Amino acid sequence: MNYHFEMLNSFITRHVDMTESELTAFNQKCKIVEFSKGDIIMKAGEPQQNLFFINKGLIRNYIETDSGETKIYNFRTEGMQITGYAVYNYKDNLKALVNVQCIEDCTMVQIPFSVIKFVIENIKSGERLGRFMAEGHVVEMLNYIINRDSMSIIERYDLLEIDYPNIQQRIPQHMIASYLGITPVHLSNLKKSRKSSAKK
Amino acid sequence: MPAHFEMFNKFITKHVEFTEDELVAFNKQCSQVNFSKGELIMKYGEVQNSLYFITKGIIRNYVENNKGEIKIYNFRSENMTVTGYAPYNYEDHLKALVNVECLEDCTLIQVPFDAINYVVNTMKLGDRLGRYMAEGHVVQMLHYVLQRDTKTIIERLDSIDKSFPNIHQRVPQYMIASYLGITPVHLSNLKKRRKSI
Repeated sequence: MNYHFEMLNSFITRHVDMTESELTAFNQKCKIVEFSKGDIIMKAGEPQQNLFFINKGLIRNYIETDSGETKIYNFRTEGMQITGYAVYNYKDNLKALVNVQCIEDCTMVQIPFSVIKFVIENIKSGERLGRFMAEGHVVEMLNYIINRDSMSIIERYDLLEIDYPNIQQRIPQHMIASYLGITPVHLSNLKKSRKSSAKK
Repeated sequence: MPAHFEMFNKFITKHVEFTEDELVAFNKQCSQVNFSKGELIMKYGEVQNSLYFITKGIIRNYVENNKGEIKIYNFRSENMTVTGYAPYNYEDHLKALVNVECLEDCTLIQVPFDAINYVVNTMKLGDRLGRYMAEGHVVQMLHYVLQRDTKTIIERLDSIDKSFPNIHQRVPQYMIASYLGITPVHLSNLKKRRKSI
C-alpha cells in the first residue's frame, strides 16, 4: 500500500477499529495532492469541499483583522488533519473559518466531504471517528484559550515546542511571535533576556 | 412526562432521531437535580462523572488565573448543555477544564457519563449526537476566539445578547465585563460614552 495512505490509516485505526476492506473503500475515494510553500489551501469565508491529512509539511491556520494584522491560531504538521473548521460550519455553507497556508512544500491526502459522508453512513465506526475528531478540537481550542489568558509568553513559547517538535527550525520567528500575540522584536527580547539570565 | 425531561428530549430529537423507546431508556438513567444560586457545579481540575442539561437557570464557565483574576469564557442557559469540557478530557481523567457556577437557582437534568456510554454504545445514533455536540462546541469556541481578536469591545457587547438572550437582565455587569476582558469601570464608561453620542 502507498505509504501516504498507510499513514492516514494508522491515524484512523489509532482512534477506531476499521476493517481492511473499509479502509480500502475509504482510501479509494481520496487522493494524494501536493502544495508548494506559500500556497493557500483554504481561504476564510470560502465554501470548502475537502479536508486534508498531512503526510509531509507544515501549515498555519490564521486570520487577517480589519487593521491588516495577521493572527496565527495554530500550526498543523505530519500526522494531523486540516479542516479550516469548514467541515463543522454547517450554519454557514461549510465556509472555512480561517485561512490555511503552507509554510513548507506539503504532501497531503485530500478527503472530499462526500467521502466523509460515505464513511459516516456506511462504515460502522465512521460516526465515532467523526466524534473523536471534533472532541479533540474542543480540548485543543479550550487549552489555547485558557493558556493565552493564564500562561506567560515564555511558558507558551516553551509549550509550542512540546506540541510541535522542531517548530523553531521550521517556522520563521515572526510567525511564532504572531502565534504568541506579540511583535517579533518583543519575542527576540524575551529570548535574549532568558539567555542572559541563564548564564548568571 | 415531566416538563424537564420533555425539554431534554426535544433538544435531543432536534439533533438526531431517537425512538420513543430509546428516549425512555436514556431518561431512566438520568435524574432531575436542583442547584442554588452561587453553587459550584464543577470545579476546575476535579474529575467529573456527569454532564448536565439546563431546563431552568443560567451558569457561567470560568477559570481563575495565578493572579487571582477571574476570566469568564461563556454562559449557558435554558436548553444548553453544561460539560465543563470534562467529557472531552480523555487525556486527563475527565477532569473539568473550567469552573461551573450557578448564577441563578437552576434545574438541570443530570446525565451520568455512564448513560452517555450506554447511548453511544447501544443506540444507532448515539455517536452522531455526540459528534454534533462536540462540533457545536468547536464552532462556538472558534467564534469566541475570532471575535475577541477582530471585534471591538462595543461590537462584542452588542452581539452578546444574540449569543445569550436577556443576558443583561440575568447577569451582573461585572461578569459581562469579565467576559469581554475589561474592567467593570471600563465597561460602564463605554456604555456612558455611547449614550452621550
